[in-house]
Amino acid sequence: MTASAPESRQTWGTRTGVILAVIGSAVGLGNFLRFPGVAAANGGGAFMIPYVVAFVVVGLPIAWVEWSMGRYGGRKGFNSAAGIYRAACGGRSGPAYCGVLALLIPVIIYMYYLSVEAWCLGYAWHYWSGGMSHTVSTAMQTAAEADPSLTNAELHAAGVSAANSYLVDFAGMDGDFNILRRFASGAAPFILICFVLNFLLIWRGLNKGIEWFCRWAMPALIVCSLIILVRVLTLGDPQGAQQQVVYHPASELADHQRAPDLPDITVEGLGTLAPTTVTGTVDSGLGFMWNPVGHRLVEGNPVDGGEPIRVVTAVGFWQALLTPSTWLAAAGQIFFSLSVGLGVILTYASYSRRRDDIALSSLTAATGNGFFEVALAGMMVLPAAFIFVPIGQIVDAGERASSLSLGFFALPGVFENMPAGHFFGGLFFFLLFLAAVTSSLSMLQPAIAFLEEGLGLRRHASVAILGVLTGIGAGFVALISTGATVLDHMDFWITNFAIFIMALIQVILFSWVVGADKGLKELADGAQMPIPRWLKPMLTYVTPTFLLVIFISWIWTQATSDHSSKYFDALRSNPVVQGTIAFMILVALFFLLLIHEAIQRWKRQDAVHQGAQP
Amino acid sequence: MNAVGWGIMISAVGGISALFSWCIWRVMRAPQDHLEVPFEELAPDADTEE
Repeated sequence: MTASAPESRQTWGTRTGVILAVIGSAVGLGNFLRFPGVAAANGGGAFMIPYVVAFVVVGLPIAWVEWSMGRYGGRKGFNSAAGIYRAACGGRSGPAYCGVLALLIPVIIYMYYLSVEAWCLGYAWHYWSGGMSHTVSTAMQTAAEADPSLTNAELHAAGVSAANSYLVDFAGMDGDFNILRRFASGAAPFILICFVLNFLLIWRGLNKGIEWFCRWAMPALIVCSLIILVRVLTLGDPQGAQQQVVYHPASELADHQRAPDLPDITVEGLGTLAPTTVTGTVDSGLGFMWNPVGHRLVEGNPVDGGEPIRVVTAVGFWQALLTPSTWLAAAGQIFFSLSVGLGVILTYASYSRRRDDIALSSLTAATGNGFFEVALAGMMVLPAAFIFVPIGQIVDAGERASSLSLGFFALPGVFENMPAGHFFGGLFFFLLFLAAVTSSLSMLQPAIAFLEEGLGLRRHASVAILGVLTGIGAGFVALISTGATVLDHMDFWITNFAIFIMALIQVILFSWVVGADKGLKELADGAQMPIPRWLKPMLTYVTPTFLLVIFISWIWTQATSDHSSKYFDALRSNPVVQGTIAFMILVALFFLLLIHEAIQRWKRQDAVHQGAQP
Repeated sequence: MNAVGWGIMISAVGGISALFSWCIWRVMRAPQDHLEVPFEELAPDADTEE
């Protein structure tokens, strides 16, 4: 190691604090909104098998890699990925440039995450202040009065549509700059509040800001989650519940299982499908989430003629398990959820002290994240949605893997149909807000750390520079808001492409450049649990191979799937999307320039340091 | 929900809860509590100089 160490450095105040901060970084909207939808769309209970495999093969090993490299770098006086990679690779400059992704990913995510965070706060406020009174039920009543022949499902669809319109209006998605035109009634004030809150906490520093906030926000998050969970599980068989229609192969259904008055359909490749109905209850909602049955949206032709219709069809256990997209979805969820491959854990771990246990802390943070995701969100969101929201809308949200919209268009209807729904609605969105803040805070720290150590800036100057940069980006997302195109495409390219590359670079650096033996020795230093013997071959061979297979499969899926290739098509044809990609490239170049400057500075420091030695 | 669904749910929720609880238990009994001092009182780490 060659760079000189600073005179003093920040460290976490308590071990509990660092674990809560890392869990807080990982637990976010992906746990509460993304996981249930993705699981239900990709095999339900069967999804848990690839999910657990991805956790063991990718999630936990890469988390341990980040913790090991992070603490090692921290001991050498570095807290940013650029500095940590350089220190870990013997002062070589090449690996330091790879650190650009660890700056770009969290900063770009912060820019659009801020908007979603603000929506959560805004919804919580609107629920508690009465602003969201009866949005869905009024729309359903209006639709029923306009056309008394509408079915229950059509009325609920009208309600969901009203909730969707509410979000479009609130976030200004119906036109660029609309968020400014309806400043007072839209999301703009909440975006400003969230922006100021995040930077106020970051300004206060590691201990008085991030650690302090996570120490009270995470317990509050658990309490809020448990209250909502109890409320959902005691809903029973409420009035206004949906009759959900699911199609199965006609040959598998007995006559008494078929729904009367609904036609069979024929679907290319699947043959004839017949409908069954399930009443929306908590029990059937839990079954929708946990039975080993996937659900897909398919378009079929009614056997008795008429227009093609889109319906939900059940996918069996083995069919779900043998589908590559199920494994892709599971790995993607693990990445998104555990916050591995973002560079955040790397920076957080660098504030650990030499003899702090990082193996157990990492496992605690990963299982804590899993607890929120599986034991709380998996029991809460879908069972509630299944009761009141048409199943097609739920599956559609889950299939759009980058979408976090389920909570905003589907759940308002759920809360309106609940006793004390406005209180619980406000509580739910406040819960999401807390989860989002603990995550967004973590996204700022890597860049702050880099500006401090790479350019020698004081913390407040670093915070100010990052504030300007993220302010421009967040403004871009909030103002060019038509159809949330900017937000959607930033999310797609960062979470599907950049995170994967970052994770792959880290594993290769750890296993093949630094050396797995040396890296695992760092992990074992101070560990209060035995390091699994399988970890070395896993990190050396299995994890990189698994990541490569996922990446190649992902490229193949994008190239061949009509549904997903819209992101690639938009690159060629949509100027807003082209502008979004250009903006991200500009930010990346800006960070590359700063890294180059930092490397020169570190080299000068090395020369002074070596010259001072006899 | 069918019996297999109940089995998966109980295994998944029970498994992750048990693992998380075990981790918390190990963290709580770990002999590192002496390190829990306020940030303001922390001295620079001796091992940052190498």
